[in-house]
Amino acid sequence: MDNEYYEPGGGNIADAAHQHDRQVGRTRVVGQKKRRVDARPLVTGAPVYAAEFEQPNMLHARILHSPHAHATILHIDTSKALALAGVRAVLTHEDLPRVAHSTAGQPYPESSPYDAYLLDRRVRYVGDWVAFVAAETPAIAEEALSLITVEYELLPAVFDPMEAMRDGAPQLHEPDITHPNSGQHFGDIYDAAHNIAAHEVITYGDFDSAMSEADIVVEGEYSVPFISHTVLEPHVCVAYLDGYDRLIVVSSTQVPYHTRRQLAAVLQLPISRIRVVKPRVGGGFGSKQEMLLEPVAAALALKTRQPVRIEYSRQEEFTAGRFRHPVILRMRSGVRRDGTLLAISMHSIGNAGAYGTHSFTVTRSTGHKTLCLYRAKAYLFRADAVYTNLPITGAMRGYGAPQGFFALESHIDEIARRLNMDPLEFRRKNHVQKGDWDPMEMVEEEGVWRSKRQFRSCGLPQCLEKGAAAFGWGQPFERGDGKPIRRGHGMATAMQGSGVASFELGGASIKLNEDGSFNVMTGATDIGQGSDTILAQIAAEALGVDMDKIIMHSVDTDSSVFDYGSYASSTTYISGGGVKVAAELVQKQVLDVAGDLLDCAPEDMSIVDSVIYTPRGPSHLRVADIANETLYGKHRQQIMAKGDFWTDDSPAPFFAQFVEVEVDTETGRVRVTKAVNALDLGKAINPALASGQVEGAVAMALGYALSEEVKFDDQGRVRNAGFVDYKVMSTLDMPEMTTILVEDTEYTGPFGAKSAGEVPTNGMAPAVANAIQDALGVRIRSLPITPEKILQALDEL
Amino acid sequence: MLRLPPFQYLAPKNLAEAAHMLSQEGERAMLVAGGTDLYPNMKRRQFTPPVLIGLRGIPTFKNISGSAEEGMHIGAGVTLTTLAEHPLLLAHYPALATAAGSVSTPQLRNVGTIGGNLLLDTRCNYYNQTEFWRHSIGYCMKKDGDICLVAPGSPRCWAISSADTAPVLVSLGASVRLVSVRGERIVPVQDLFRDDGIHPYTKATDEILSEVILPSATGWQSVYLKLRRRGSFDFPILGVAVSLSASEDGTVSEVRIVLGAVASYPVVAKDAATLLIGQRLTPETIEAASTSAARRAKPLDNADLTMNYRKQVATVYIRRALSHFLNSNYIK
Repeated sequence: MDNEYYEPGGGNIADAAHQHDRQVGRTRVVGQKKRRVDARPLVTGAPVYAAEFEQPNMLHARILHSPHAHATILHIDTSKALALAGVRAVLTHEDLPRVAHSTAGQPYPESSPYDAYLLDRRVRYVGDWVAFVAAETPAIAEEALSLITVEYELLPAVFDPMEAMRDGAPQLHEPDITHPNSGQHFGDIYDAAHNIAAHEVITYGDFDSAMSEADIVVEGEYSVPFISHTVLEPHVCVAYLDGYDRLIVVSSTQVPYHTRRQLAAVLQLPISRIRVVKPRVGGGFGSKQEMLLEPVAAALALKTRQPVRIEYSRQEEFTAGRFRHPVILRMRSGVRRDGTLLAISMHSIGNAGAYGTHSFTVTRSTGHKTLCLYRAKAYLFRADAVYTNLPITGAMRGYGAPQGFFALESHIDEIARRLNMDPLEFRRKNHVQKGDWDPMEMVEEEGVWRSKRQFRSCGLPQCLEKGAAAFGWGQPFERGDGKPIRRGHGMATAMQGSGVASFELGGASIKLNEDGSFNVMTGATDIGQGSDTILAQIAAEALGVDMDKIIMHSVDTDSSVFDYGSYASSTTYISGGGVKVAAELVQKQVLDVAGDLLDCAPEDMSIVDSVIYTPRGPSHLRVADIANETLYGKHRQQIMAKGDFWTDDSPAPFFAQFVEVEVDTETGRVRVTKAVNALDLGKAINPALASGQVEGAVAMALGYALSEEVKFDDQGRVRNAGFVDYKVMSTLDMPEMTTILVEDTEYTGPFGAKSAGEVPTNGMAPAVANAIQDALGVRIRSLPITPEKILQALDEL
Repeated sequence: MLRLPPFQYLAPKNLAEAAHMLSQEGERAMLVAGGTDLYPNMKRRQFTPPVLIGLRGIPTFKNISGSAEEGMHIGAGVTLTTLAEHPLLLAHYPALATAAGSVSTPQLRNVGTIGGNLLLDTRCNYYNQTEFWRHSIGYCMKKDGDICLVAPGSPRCWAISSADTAPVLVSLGASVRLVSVRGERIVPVQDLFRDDGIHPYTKATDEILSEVILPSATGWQSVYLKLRRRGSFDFPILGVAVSLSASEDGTVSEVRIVLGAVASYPVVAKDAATLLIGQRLTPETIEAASTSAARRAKPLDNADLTMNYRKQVATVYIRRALSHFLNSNYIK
């Protein structure tokens, strides 16, 4: 029986289905396991990354990092460094304009406080930037760093968010930040005196009243660690001045357009003078949803008028890159004895590190992206993001949801156990249904509160059904006798968005060439996930041609259509939606000419595999003939169109994770032996790439569950800045994995698609914790679940 | 990217030439075989030798000869992959094959050698860090500083012997041949080590470890268990090597229990062995020996996982290593 109390909105999904104009019928390119458009260069090691972009007379930049967690710079002496042969420039805070900004790669105005400066006279974490050097070789640049002498006045530091919020704690930021856009309602720090970067409360319904009806109240506090994205390709960029004296920045970024805008602000240049180019990218996972090294290379290139390359070392990635927010999450919920969830509350306290990039939105997302997975009468969510003198936490795959779902899905499992209900049954009874409205997205319009987000597609029931069947959920299994092995089964569910509702724009322009091929120039940012291939498939399908007729071009801010970049699971849905619009417009232009030539109404015609069809069947004309006709014949014109897409929607993909764990009760070691991953993504544009996204995400989440954690000493220094000591799971640690793709058509998405890239990172950690509970009868509420935590919990039994 | 400091690379064609070069260059030079330990350490400036003498071009370093009955000779340059897959080792010295096969990753085992693993620098997570990190924390006595950061009051360095093959070779009673321009000597592997985190080897600076000599395996069984976080990459945070010979009735006649990664050298648990000699292996005798041997494990907070945990599971691992012989029906 469904949860009968849930009633946040009204409306009808049939309307949306009707609005969705064509297909989803048989497709020829979409839905196929097409080879990646960049497969050969990537696999053969062609020089396609930013670090391989060579320029004559290129200089190499290095950054001097702070060895102190909190200090004021009293004096910097760069004379010896400048005197070293081969050094071309040294920049300190005295040489650069002091422009308050956020490095968050978010649309303007950023929803992150303007608390950062390119270089400041104060450093706020070990690794903070002190000076930049450009020299003829990397070795000279490194030597120059050692010749810079800095006199610091040490300040008291704080590393724990709970301590940082107390009266009298060391304060990291001044409340009176001077905004470049003063008077605007953004860029503020919520409570600088208490180091609270950002704060959010979301409520729905009457929480106390709903809780008063509860037979059982369940509470729990959970915590998740500070972790690194561990991208294969570190942050890297090259900046140079071109023949028009414009600043060209070739960067490994997820957000070329946001970076262009922010770079202009920080360096006080007009946007028109900057061009950002994104080559192939070796992974981002959110770490590159940031402006990071671009202003360093750019400032040095402007100073020296020579090309400058800068690339982070792995050490720098682990100390001065970006990280996932550690969060403390307090859950409190009320249920009826019959298993009806009445009210859920979550309070999240996130550690922002030294600067608040993405902190508001990530800590907000711990509840905003998660609690809507369940129907209830009332919701209460509160979040605080707190500054500490630790490295900077920002965006990371899942963007708050992995933290939130570890707490929520552990908590739901605890509730089900208290009720003696199968956790799968409890979820079936309470999870969100197709047609429901999102209680986390309430807006007030003319005095009336209504939800602006409806779940028009929801394949969660199929994910649960197919996942449970493939896994054998509820079937007897060999549990082990505890001498020493015990086994357990656990599950978790999750959802995400597809882009941020009302906050996206993306698409492409498409141009026809004389051989019947099409340039697809998109601002969508392929960072290794394969979006260029997905967008090529969408373009090919909508144009009626095969993949080999599509030429992808991404991203160059001079020639690509504006795009918000690759984050928030937006690319297929948002940019793909725009590509489809552009392709349909271009196809119409082609058919207009063809109709004239064939004396047939364009709306009765179509293109299949580059052949122009009339109602009588295939004609003698192909797309290339139309191209020739328009470029050299009587209908002379350039066939070209742009398409973009933005929406108030953010359809949710759904995910179900099932795992079996094996626990060694004498050593506490946990091995995940089997995993079933079931994803509802609306439509798999490319099933091979979609499965790859799922399996990559699940592998990543396994490290979050069991082993990954950036550790600090009592001075805020990273203790495990490298792959020997920072434990990313290896291929040998991977379970036997089954991935199931469920396609519950999302009528607002291109060919029925919604997102796939982030949601599968959300299930593994809680599923493992739940399976451990099943195996041992102990509940681990903090990640990573190390062997010592298991032994300690067993001791306390 | 961390960068190697500049150095001169010498490539001798035979052992005599290598010994001569080493003698000529003196303390300026270091030896390198696979380089899987040395080069990362050089990038982090634990070592900055002006000269490296590469041993890869010495053909005899790749030799394996002998038999299980007579004992075996393994050239110092034999790769860990070769050892892990060698049929004679798998059959007669299984602990050595297991240990070699558990080092780091397949790629590094394809390059790393037995000599290099045996002479692995001791490790400590205050020492195996980049120059930037060590500078910011204030250097430790093992390199550039004068205190121990793990135990600040300590007059000595507590860096950990972290070679998987070291405790196994000690337990097997193996020896090594050390060659220099002054001549050569054969030293029991156990005597190659000393209890000093900074200078963990007794090998003189002009000596080259040319081969490992295994005694006869006749009548012996062996096992190696390794504690680590992941199925790959990780150095041991505990290694338990046991070699055992038993008479026909199952009475233990000789046993050597050696613990790796619990001190600056492979620790031989003699008291525990004494408890077993003359006894049959039973759950009770194994428990007593394990408890005794685990007392020799005194980990500090300078490796993965906490010292309490590593101490706690030492007993479990030693018990499991000894119980392996029970399960494998140790009477032959």
